Amino acid sequence: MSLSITVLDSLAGALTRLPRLPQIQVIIPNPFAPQARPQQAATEQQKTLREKLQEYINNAVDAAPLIPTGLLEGLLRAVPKKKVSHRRKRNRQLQGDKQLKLLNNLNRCPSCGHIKRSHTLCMHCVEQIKSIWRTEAKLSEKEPFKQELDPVDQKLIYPGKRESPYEKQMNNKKEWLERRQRTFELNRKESK
Amino acid sequence: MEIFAVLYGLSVVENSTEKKARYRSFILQHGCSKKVIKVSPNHIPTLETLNTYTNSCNPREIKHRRALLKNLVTALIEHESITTTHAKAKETQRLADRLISLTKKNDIATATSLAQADVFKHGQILPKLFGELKDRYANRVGGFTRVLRLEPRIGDNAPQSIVELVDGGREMKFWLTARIVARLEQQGLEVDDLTKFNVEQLTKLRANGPEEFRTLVERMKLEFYQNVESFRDNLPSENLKAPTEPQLKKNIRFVQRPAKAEESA
Repeated sequence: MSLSITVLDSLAGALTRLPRLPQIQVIIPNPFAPQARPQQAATEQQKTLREKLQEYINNAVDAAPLIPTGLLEGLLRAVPKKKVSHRRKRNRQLQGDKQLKLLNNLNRCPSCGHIKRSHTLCMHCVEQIKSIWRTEAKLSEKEPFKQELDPVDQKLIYPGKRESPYEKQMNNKKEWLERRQRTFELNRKESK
Repeated sequence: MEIFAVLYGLSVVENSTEKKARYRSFILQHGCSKKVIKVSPNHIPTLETLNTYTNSCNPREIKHRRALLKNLVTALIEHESITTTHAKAKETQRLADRLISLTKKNDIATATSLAQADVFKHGQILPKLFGELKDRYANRVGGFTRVLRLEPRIGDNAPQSIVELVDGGREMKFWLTARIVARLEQQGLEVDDLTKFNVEQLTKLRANGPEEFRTLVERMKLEFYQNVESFRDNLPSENLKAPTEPQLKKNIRFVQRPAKAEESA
């Protein structure tokens, strides 16, 4: 046992000491390998539009193609063949079902007397009743806990929000929010 | 062909079978398949089957639709009355009616487990459903909810409607009829037949119905019709007719059902 170990040790030492040769590489020319493309002689300016297009398409097969602006304008896009005549246009825009229709299903609201659609509720009266519910709900709500603080502390902890002029402008919802108009009152004297 | 396909961002490789597969997966995802389910009359439809019934009206994803319906129903049970589009309102009405009819089952454990599947906020909603609402609708067999049409919504012009729990605290029909009665009384007019009919229907099965209605009428008088002079001329005084039961034609008459052959023998 001892002998073998010594032999192995000596061998290992000898191997480490030997200089390492570089790996042998044999290069065999592959007849089926793709040949290098001949360099394009034509410069950017000499290319025709068709060549440019082809090149662009070849490059953009994998990635989602982005159509360059101005390159394909009027070439490949679908465009109307003829101008739509005045008569056709007016006929289209003033079709019978596109015009305003008369409402024949009208009623009077039994609680406020204004005109309303039959089989629907009067939105004015509904909103008034809803507002009652809202105020009731607000009254029944508990007030949130409020800690009493110095004015200085108050300002430090709750500095408030600084509104931009645009936000200030938008705060007044009455000016810009579209609201439901109230229906007309039914005047008895006129209707008779 | 190839050029166009590349220009418009389509892959050229895709053939017709792949397209078919994609189309099929789309159908599975969005639940737009035309699937007909036959249901026996004793079967209570689950939420999934409900979805398949009404695929055509609301082509959302099934999970999304399910969550939407659950949300609407929880809101309805929590607040007693909600305003949505008409299609959604009808859906929630169906589901809410089903939930309340579940409370009438003898086996409460299974009923609760079934109800849990269709509702969010279990801690808040389930006690209310099996406590307050169960007591409230003890005398009713069906028709626990009501849908009232509203004017179309501003912005997208979608048809809106209110869904409300009948005999609840926020029953719009109850409040509006109270308002009409208040106005008629302030004007010194007789209450018309239609309103009388409505009042009877609304107060019949409500706990303390007549008294509650009376107090509401007095409140409405204070709220809206204090100054009689201002509205006297401009409010309707027509006599509206109450709905009558449909009458059969004269030549139709009922005949007693003939006894079966086995019974007679």
